[in-house]
Amino acid sequence: MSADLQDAPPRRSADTIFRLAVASCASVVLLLLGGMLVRTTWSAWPAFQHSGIGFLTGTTWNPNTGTFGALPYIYGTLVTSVVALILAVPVAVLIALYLSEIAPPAIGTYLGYVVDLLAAVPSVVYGLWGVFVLVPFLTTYVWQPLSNHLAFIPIFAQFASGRNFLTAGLILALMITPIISAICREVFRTVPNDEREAALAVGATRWEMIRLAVLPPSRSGIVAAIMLGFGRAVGETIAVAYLIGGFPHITAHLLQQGSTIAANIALQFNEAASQPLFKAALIGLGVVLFAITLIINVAARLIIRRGNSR
Amino acid sequence: MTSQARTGGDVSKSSHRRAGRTAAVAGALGIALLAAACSSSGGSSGGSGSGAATINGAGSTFAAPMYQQWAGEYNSKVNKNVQINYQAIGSGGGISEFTQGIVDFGATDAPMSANEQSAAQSSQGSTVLHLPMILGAVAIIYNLPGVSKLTLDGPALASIYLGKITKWNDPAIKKLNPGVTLPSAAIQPVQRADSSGTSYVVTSYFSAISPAWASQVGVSKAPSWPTGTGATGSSGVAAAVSQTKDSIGYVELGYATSGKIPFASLMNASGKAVAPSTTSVEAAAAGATLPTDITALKLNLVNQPGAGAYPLSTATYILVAQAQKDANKGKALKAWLLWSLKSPQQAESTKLNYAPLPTALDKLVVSAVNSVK
Repeated sequence: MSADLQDAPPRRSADTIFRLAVASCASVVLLLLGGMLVRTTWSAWPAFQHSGIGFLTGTTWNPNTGTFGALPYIYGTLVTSVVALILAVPVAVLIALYLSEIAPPAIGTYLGYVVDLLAAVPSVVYGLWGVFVLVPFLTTYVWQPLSNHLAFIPIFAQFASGRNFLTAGLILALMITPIISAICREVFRTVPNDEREAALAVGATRWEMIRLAVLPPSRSGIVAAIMLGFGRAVGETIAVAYLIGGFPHITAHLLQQGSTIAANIALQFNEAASQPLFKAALIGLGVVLFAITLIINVAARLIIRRGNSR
Repeated sequence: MTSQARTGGDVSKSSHRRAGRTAAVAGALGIALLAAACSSSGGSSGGSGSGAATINGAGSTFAAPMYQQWAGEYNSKVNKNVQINYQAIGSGGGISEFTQGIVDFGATDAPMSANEQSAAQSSQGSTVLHLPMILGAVAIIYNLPGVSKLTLDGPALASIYLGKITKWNDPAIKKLNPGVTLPSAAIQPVQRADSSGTSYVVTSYFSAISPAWASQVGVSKAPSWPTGTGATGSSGVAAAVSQTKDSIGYVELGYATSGKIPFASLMNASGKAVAPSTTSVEAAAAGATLPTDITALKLNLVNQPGAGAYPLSTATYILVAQAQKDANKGKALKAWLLWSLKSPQQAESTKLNYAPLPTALDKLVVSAVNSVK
C-alpha cells in the first residue's frame, strides 16, 4: 500500500482544482448566510427604526395603527419549541437507543425505515391531521380534564381553546421526534463496537454498557440532534399556524391561544404587500427568528465545548 | 461478540444505502419545487396559439365556489381553448398576487385600499378596475348543542368579539332569544387569522354599529382582534366552529350550509330578524346606493335599510387591469367576464347560496368590462 502511494506521480494540478472547487462550494454557504442576513436586516431597517427597541420588547402588534411589538411572537416561538423539546427529546433518544443497541437487527432496520419515513411527512399533513383529528381529541380527552383537575398549576389553568400553545408544542414534538431520533441513532452507531465489547467484558449490564460506552462519546452528537430539532420547531410555520389559534399574547396559561414568529409571517404577508412599513416589520420578524436560532446554536456549541474540556 | 461485529457491518452498509436514498429523495423534492415555482411564475405568460389562452386568477375564498364553477362551464360549454384557473388563497392573497403580476386577475371581497390600489396600478401600468361579480352573505355560525335557532344583533355580536360579552346567557343575548335556553358557558369566538375579505365585511359592520369597535379596532381585512381564536381560511373557521362547543364564527353562507353548521339570524337596520339567504341579500342590494363611476365600482351592502335586508351582505370583486398587457389573454378574460355577467350565469349563483347582481349594477359592470383594452 505505502509503496504504491510513494510510486504514484505527483498530480498537483488536479489537487489544486479539486481544492478550489471544494472551497468555493463551501464559501457559497457563507455567502448565502451573510447575504441573507445583510439583505433581510436592510429590508427590515425601516421597521427597526420606527419601533426602536420596542420592536423586541413591545407587547402589542397592530399593523393597522403602525405598532410593532414582537414580544408575544418571540414568546410563542420559544414556548412552543421548548414544550416540543421537553416532550420529544427523551422519547427520541430512547427510540434511537432501542434501534441501535437493543432491538434485534431485523426489527431495528425496519423500525428505522419507519422513523425516517415519519421525518419525511410534510408539515402541512401534520397540520391538517392536527386540525381535524388531534384538536378535537385533545380538547375533549386531555386539555379539558387537565384544566378541570390541575387548574392549581398555572400552565393548565384557564383553558380557553383547543388551539393553544400546548397543542402547537405537541404537534411540533411529533414532527421533531423522528428527526432527533434518526440523527441520534446514526451517532450511536459511530461508537466503535470495541468499546461496547470492552464494557461488556468487564461485566457491565446492557444499561451500564449504554451509560458508560455509548452515551458519553455521543453527547455532542445528541446536542447537535437536539439543535436541529429545535431549529425545525422554531421555524415550523404551517402546522403551527393551523393549531396555535393565531392570537398573539403573553400568558403563563398554556391552554390559551398564542402565535409564533413563523406562523405570523405566513399569515400576514399577503396583507403587508402594499404597506412598506408593515412589510419591513414582517421581514424584521424574520431577522429576529434568525437571531434566535443563531444564539441558541452558539450557546449549544459552547455547552458542548465546556463539556468536552472537562 | 461475533454477532455484534456482523451487525456493525450491516449497519454501515445500510447507512450508506440510506444516505443514497436520502439524496435521491432530496433531489426529487428539489425538482418538484422547481417545477412548482416555474409553473406558478410562468402562469401569467401561458397560453399560445390563436384564441387559446390560459388565464390565472387567485383570491377570495368567499367567491371561490362560483368562480370555479364558471371557469369549468366556460371551458366545457363555451370555449374549449380557454382555460381559467382559480386559486382560493384569500382576498389579501388575491390582491397581493395580482399586484405582483403573478396572476392575470385578482379576486377580493374587500375593495382595495387607496394604498393597495396605487401599488397595483403602478405595477400593472394601468387603471385597475373593481368588477362586482356576485353578491353574498356572511353567515354567523355557532356551535351550541341543543340550540337550533339563534338571533343576534350587531351590538351584541360586536361586544362578543370585543370580549365584553363572554357568556352565552348574557342578558343582551337572552333578550333577543325569548324561549331559548342558553347555557352559562363561556363564548369561544373564532375569527380568520389570515388576511380575509370576510373579516373586512364583518369589521365594516361592527364599525358601522359599534363606536367602541370603530375606535378600538376599525375596518380591516386583518384586524388586531381583541379576543378569540384565529383559524386559517373560511374552511378553517368552519372546522374550528364545528369542533368547538360554545363557539361562534363567521363564514360565507355556502360554507355554513355545505358543512351543515347552524347559523344565526341578525337584527337588521329596520329592527327585523333576518336569516342570510339569496333573498335577504337581494333585499340589501335593493336599498343600497349604486356607484356610477365604472372605474370605481365599489359598493357597501353592510347594514342596509329594508325590512328583509340581511345586514352582513357584500359584493365580491374581480380585479383586472383596464389596459391588458397581453392582447390575446385580455380578449379571452374579457369574454369570460362578459359571459359570467349574463343572466343565466348570474342566476346560477343562487344555487350556491349567492345572489345575482341587480340589473342596473350588472349593466354598469358590463360597461366596465367593455372598457378593458
